[in-house]
Amino acid sequence: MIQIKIKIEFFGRARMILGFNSFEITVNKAITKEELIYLIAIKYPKLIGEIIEENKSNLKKSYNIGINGIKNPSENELNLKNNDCILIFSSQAGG
Amino acid sequence: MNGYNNKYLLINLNNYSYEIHPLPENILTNFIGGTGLSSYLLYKYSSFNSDSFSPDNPLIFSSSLLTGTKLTTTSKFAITTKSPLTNFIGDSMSSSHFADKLKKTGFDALVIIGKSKSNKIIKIQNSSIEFIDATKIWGKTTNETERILNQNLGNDFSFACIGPAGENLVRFAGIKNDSGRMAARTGVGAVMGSKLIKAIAIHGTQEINIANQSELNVIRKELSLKSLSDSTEKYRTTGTTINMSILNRLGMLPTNNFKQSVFKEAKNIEGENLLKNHYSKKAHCANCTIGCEKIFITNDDDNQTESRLEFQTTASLGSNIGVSNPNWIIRAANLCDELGMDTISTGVTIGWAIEASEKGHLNSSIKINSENSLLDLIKKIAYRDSIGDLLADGTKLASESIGQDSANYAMHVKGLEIPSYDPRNLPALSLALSVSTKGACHNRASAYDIDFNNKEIFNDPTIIASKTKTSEDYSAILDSMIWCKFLRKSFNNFYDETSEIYSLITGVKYNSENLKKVGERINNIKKLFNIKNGWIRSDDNLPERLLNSKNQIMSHSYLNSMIDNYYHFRGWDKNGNIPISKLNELNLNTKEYASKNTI
Repeated sequence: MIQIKIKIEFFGRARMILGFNSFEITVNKAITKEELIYLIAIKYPKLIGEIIEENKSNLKKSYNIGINGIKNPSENELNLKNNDCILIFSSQAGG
Repeated sequence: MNGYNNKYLLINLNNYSYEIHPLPENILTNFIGGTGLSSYLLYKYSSFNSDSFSPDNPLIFSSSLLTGTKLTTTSKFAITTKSPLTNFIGDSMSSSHFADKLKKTGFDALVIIGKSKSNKIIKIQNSSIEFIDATKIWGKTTNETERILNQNLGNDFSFACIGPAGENLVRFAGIKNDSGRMAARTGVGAVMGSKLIKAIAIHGTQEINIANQSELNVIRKELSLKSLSDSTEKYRTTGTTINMSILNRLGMLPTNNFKQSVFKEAKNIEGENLLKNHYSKKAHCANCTIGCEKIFITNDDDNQTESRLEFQTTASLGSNIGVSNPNWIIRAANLCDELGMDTISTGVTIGWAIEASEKGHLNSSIKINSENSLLDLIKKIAYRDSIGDLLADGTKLASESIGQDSANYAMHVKGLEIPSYDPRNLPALSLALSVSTKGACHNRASAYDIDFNNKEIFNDPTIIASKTKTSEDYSAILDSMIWCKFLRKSFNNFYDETSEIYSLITGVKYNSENLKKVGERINNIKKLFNIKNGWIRSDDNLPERLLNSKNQIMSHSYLNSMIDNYYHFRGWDKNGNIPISKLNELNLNTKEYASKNTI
């Protein structure tokens, strides 16, 4: 199992609920999107029902996950690398 | 036809006369209402190639099919005219009680032509029309104007008015209504000022017929519930100011006149900070369940100033001019509202002026190094005082006036200043901004949605062009029915559900394909208007600054490739002109059009 360090960055309501912008975490390189969201849900249960679905494995429809601001993975596979940044932000554009 | 008044009011200010004209069913089915119907009426009454401040230029207010139905978010209206910024079609939308009262007068649209001989208020109470002397309120701010009119005419009336900026023909002046809403873009307020009309007071009591009210009521309740779901979460909870933090992180935040795409001091003015330290209250448009409007308040003095802030305002009057103090932005936004000016164009024009001053292209020194320097410059623009006289013409004309290479950093398309999404790495938005008939508007295609959700297609100009064309037509339906764009993701199948609602209101069977064709027709009549006003392919472009930076997707060749593909999907020729066969296909080549439209 290869371990990598990644950074999770929060925007909008997620940031306001938590009161901070980001945290770093070491994860299995093969971690899936559902597994990552589960980890975040367990670490920060305040997000459950607000940003993360009650099943703890999916973001709510109104939120997106982005990797380094370059791609928004639609699949469960994330293919992360060491020092990747995971952005969690509103999926609703406009304003 | 059910759902409509089936007539419009034509006011001629040259002799203070008015006529009532029927709106035939085929016009209503072909253009629906809102920006669609008003584009048709603009085309019908325009003399083309005349100046936007000429009395010939029609100023059109249009309600829509959905206005007055009490479906959520539908108390909206459109204002259309030839824009003094672009000399092409200009439209802007606003919301709330004025829209409902406009429809209740018994008219679906109001067409104003000519020019008054003195300052007037147009008072419309059902089919009674009066022209009231406006001498005593000429020069007043928008809120003061509405307050005085309210005192004099009473609560039954709603008002749309201009401020000093509209009176002084600031080319990006807007029209304010319902004490907080503004049809801000493309200079519609300047056209109203050119006609010497300070305000329109509206009161109506006429109800429209709905073909199937009971089934519509069921849908109305369902839609209201859907509007409170996750699909509108951002708009309901935080509002749009939170866009700044993510756009800054992604390197898409216009900064210092689009010189940079990241603002180092953004933290102070990000929505998260504004909501924590400056939030005052939430507000709703009439008949809206979402309530996106967030009012912010200053916290650095006893004279607390309140202002509605959206992301576009905080970025245009913030990062784009190097301002990171939220109190300055709140007071600057409030001042723009009071003076009746578009905050996007104001901010972008100031950004251009700062750079022109730094480069020695302007004789005046423009520095925004204090709150007073910002507020003073905004006032100078509104009153066309000293350097403000040049800036009141917007970035296109101002840069043409001073010459040198200042056009390269004048951030507009066709004359309309660019909103605060840096398009360098957003290809669909780049295409949409460049080909938009009204100039750089983010709302007439909402193409950033394509970019944010389809990053895998960024390098495919064909797919980008196809999706952008589809999104433009979809937006034309949103703006013609009229639905608020913040409701758009509450539909499971937008076209099916909207055509069903159309049928329930009118009693006329309608389907998704009909609606899609209407969207295409509306975008084509807008283009037709521009062609008749001298549009050529090179008008579909972006400022040089956005096309020649390193580490970005956008370039001259990529933009041109997308434009080629876009014209192809529109069925236009390689120069962007509309073949007669396409006009025929869209029923735009009837006898009424054929005499004008030999392209």
